Amino acid sequence: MKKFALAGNPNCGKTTLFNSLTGSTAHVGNWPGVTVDKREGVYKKTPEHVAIVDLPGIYSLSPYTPEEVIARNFILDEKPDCVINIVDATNLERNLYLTTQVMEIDVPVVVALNMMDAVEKNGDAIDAKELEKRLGVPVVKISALKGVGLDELMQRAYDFSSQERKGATVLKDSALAHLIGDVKIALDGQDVANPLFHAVKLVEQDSIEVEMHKDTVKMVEEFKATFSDDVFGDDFEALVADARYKYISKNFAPVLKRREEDKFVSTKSDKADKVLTHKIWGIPIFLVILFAIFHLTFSEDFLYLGAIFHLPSLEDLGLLDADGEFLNFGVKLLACVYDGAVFSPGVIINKLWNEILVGELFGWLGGLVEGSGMEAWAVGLINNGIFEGLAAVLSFLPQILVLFLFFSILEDSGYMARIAFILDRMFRKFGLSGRSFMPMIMGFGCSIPAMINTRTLADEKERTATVRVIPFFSCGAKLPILTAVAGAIVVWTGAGNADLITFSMYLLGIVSAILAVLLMRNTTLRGDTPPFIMELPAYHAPQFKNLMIHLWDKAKHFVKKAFTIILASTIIIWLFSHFSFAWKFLEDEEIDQSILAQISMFLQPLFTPLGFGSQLGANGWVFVVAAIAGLIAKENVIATFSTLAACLIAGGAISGAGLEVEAEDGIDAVRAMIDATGIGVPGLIAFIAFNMTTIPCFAAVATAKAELGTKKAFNNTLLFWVAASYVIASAVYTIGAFPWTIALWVVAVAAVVVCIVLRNKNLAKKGA
Amino acid sequence: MEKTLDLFTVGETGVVKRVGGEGKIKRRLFDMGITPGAEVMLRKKAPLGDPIEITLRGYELSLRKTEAVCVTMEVKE
Amino acid sequence: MGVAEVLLIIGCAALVIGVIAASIVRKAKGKTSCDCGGNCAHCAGCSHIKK
Repeated sequence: MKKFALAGNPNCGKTTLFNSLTGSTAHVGNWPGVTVDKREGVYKKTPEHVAIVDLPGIYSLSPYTPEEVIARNFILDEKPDCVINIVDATNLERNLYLTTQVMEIDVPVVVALNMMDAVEKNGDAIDAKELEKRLGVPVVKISALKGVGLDELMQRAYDFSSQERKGATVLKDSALAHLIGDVKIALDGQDVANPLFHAVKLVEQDSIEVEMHKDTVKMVEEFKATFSDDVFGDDFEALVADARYKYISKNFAPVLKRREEDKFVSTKSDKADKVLTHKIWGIPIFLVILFAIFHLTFSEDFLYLGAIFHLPSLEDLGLLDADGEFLNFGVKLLACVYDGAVFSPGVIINKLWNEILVGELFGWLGGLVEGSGMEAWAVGLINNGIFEGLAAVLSFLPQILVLFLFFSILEDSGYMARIAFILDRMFRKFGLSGRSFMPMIMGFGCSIPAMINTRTLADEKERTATVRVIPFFSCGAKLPILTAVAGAIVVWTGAGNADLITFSMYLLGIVSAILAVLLMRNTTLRGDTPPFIMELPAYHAPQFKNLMIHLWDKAKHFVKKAFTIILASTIIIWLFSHFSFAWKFLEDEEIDQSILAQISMFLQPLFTPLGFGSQLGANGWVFVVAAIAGLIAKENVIATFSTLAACLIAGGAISGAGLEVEAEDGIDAVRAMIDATGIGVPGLIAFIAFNMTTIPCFAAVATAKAELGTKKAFNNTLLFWVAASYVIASAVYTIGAFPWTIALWVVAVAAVVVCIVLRNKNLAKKGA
Repeated sequence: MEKTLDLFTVGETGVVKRVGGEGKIKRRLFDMGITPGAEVMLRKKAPLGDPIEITLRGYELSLRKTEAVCVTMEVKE
Repeated sequence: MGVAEVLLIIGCAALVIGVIAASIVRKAKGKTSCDCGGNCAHCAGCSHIKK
């Protein structure tokens, strides 16, 4: 099977093309650097199937960032049969800069002029035939998004791939042409593959090449000693880059016929940009957008209509019977939309899903199991163990999807890159670039792709710091913990606002992340602030298909996880909570003698400073179990609560009066825990804080290990997570429970800050 | 008139004359198309005046003032 | 203990063992769990192999 590689600038539509060609659903976004590793698919419309490899987006084949090295090594070492170089036609000059480098390699190259639809919409035109003639390789106009020209592209690439192609350079007219020629001949003599490419890179004194060809580089150095340019002196790297752009401006750029002569004409994108990145309003607008997203997803009082107009509850309207049950199915439906306040769209979808679908389904299944005449323990395992756990996890699916949808829209529209732009100044204060904002915000979806995305950061120390704080950006799986606990607090205290609590917990995560980075960049990970030279993509309306693909992937993944690892975990937890160390089966009443309870009781004192340890009495161990179960997958935390709450109620440890821990509701499970343990609000908040900042799920830990490279960095990272969560959660608890301790914390923080500042001053003195 | 890119005001246009700076940053600036002769317009400044956004070669690029210092420009009247 | 109970135990055991086995196999292949919805061949997370 032939192998074609897709190469091109970041955000030029490479991944969209890859998806169209291979029919896959890889993640596409509208900011540079979504693809950070190569991936493969198969194109099936040519006579012989073709393997397509999507390389990370790069601006150049220089050795400065990991993606550039990945792409470069792939083309040189794996020798694809053809390189399809995708060129964003709306940004011709800069995209062709990479083309001139790729063309120096001895490999068939086909240029795909992408986004031709956008160019034509602007009233501009590109003469592809002329460009083909001037470049000397096939040029095909395509629109990856609309699927135009793809078959022609593949056909031409397929035909061209069977030909031999020798590298060609645009540096023939430059002052270095002779030197490049000489070095090439020397490399040819040593039987080096791709002599032209290596010769040019060697002349640029590219660090990788210098390492590889130590002898030949002497030729360059000798020449350098005799050479001086008016503008560049003896900086060959600069000279080469300049010569490339000069050649492009002179020979390739004229194929683009612009309708408007004015280069700096203002477009729709500019108008949107003016508002969204406004000098003063930029940051407030961003915060409002963020809050609006949470409000739309979580608020049980949409636009605060209920609070403002004092709307009547269903009970006030006489729609409930004497037992507080709904009068009929219509009322039940209404209750999903309105009860004393209009619910936000996210809550409405969630309630419809839970009350009407999941609740009815599991209620019916539970009834079947009870009526089946199975032994009591089997009924317990199925109903309290399996169903409770499953339902608790599945019940959060709609809200996770709604939140994810909003983040996808932000990403797709190009706004995410602007956020990096407006936040860079702030980030720099903490020793990061605005770029590291992107992986962090991805962390709200899932830590794993976020950690992998940190490869777009060139600075190793910045990367390590970013990987460590990504879990603080509460991911989709931690959302159920937030909503269930926040919901329970609101129901229990009768005060507060679930979306406000959720929002502030997200903020707590962000603030912790910032402080942690600040701390690390001033102590263990000291170093200069990395550069921030970043392309800002044009805004465009999010693609409906693209959004749906994102959502579908997310939903599929979530459901798959619920039925595999989480289901397995709940079964194990049920098992350990119903057997003693003597391997004797325990009734629900005896749950405190179980293996799980015994181990957790042993660990319980450790969590006392965090508010969910020894002070909670006999049943307090449930929080410890939940936190430990969360190390496998964070969805387990609420699933564990549901399973244990059902057992505790069945065992009579708590009355469960007024509470019906039903399958669909994690909130009731948390309320049962509150009843069982007497934990206070500070302890609950500290519990959330602990789970948000501690060691993330198993899969994320594995990813961090792979991304961090050295074992030492990884071990320190684990230690960091444990320490950070312990400190943050105990601060939350002690300040919440005993407000005067805030003084102690302030003193402690001040002492640490003073120590660090003094130490750094000392180091600076020594260095100077 | 000659001045560095970080001193530009919003809407000002110029042509790149020289690019200096440390290797990695300079290379990045070059790769992004900031080479002598390139026409640049300062499009806007982020809140707090930094980083800045410029238009060149038909696209938008953002960079910090500390990086813009490396770029010496000939101001267009 | 009836047939239903035995089936239940077998089912649960199969699931737990299956999940553990699958994770061991994934690890052996150098894959990590990720957000791709099982579309591993095209996912940066899954196909990421540490070099």
